[in-house]
Amino acid sequence: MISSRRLSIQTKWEFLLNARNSEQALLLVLIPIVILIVLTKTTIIGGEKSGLPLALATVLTVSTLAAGFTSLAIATAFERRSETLVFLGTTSLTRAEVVLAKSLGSFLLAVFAGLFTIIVALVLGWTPTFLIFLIPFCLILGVFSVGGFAYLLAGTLRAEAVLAIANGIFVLVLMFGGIIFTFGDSITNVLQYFPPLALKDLIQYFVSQQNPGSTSVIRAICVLVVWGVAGHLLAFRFFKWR
Amino acid sequence: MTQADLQTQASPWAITCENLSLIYPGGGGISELNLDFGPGITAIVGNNGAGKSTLLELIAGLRAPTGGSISLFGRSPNHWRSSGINQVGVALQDGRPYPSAKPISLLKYLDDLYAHSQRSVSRPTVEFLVDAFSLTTKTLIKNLSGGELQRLKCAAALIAGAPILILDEPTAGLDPQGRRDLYNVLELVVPEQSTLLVSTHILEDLEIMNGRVIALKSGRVAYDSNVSSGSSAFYMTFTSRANIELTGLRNALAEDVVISEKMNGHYSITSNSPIDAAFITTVMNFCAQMGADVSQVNVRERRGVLADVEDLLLEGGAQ
Repeated sequence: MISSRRLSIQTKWEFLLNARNSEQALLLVLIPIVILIVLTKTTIIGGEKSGLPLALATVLTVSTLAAGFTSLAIATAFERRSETLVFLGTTSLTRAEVVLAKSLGSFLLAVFAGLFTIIVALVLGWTPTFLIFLIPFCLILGVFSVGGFAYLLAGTLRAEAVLAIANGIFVLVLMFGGIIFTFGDSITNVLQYFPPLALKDLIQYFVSQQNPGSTSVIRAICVLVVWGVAGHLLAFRFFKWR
Repeated sequence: MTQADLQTQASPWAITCENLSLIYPGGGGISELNLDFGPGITAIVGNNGAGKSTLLELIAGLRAPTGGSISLFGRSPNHWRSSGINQVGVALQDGRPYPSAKPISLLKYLDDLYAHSQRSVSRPTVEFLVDAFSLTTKTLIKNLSGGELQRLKCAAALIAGAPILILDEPTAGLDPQGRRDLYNVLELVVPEQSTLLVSTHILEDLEIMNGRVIALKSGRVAYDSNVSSGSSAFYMTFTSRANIELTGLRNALAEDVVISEKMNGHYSITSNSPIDAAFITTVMNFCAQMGADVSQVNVRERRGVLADVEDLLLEGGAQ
């Protein structure tokens, strides 16, 4: 049984604990905003300046992956090491409430980081579309798509290993995930079936005036849902609470 | 479910264990325990690996038994958990929950969590617990000393307002004064109708707690003060030459006197009768006849329960 009251208290606690962490601020706010400015104001990446909608989609994707995967994996792994997860087992919270609150806390972090990014984008001259209100839907789908893998890492490996691996994967995704650097069609056709590019495509649909076609949107949603279900099933099977 | 229903449903006992077993894949655990716990304090004692933490974690619902059953007020721990009713407040031995939070933040968060839960005993306020346990308000949990952490864990267990309290080795790492202080605070803040289970491997804690005592050995109940009758015992220890042939001394003393060489040259004598000057002279004379010098003679009397339990645990250590 999930109690909405307990869930909201636990989500608020998780969010506040993570939001107070200065490393999170760096990962979720500072790095994405720097990427936004670099993409739109310089030609360092790709030899030309990106349009604001594209850059905004890129940056929202980066911050969502940072919150939903890297931060979630590292925080959960260290909570497992400090036996915080076992401690939660001694409270009135159910396991479902503990996990759901962690995911919702990450979603709120992604929204929090997204708000900062959107404010900077507005300052830089971005004109929002009426679909902007659907961006939270993209963020929650993004967190869901990678959250299961964050739990899988955190629940099976030592905290120090999770710290190294989660950050390593994050850097690899930035470099080769197709969200900052673009690749040829053949590689992009493969990458669009992975959460990073699928999430970027979905967000791009909601922040730009261009319509990539409903097929692309449906495909992106399906990719995110399938990866999310697979990741959570694996985590459910292999996660160790201590 | 009404407040009264919480404790009066099917069993007069707060906790009932029937043939309770949890055998770990690599061996160890507990085996076929039959125990009932009612209101009051119960000390669970035993050497490392005796099964104390396993028993307490089973009662807390943190582990599932491999055999037998456990019930809290007549229902399984999972029943209460799925009903969202917290029947057990727990302070675990290991771990440092939420190291980057402050103790007062943790207690306020737990206070929120339990604010609307159904319960049958009164719940202390955060301010009361901070004051009673002398908790620091500014230091982060990761920077707390061992004693401060133990006190915080006890406060966190109490704030649930649960009728059953489990404290796993709350005095581990504390000095004698710290242990006494902690038990004094617990006596002050734990409601009288609560069922309090405290595990410890420090036998002196039993004197301070003054409640029921259960000793576990190799996962089984070796002693239960509710069942066994405690016997007053007198002890004499001394140091001498190793491997003295003790048959002559045994013949010289009463039949109920137990004499053994615990370690190399360290001897222990247990007697149900007081050890007086004549008794000590007999021992000294015997050793002199055997050509052995005697030093570090120590004579003491202890309460029956403490003496019985110490004997049991020392036997375990010798094994």
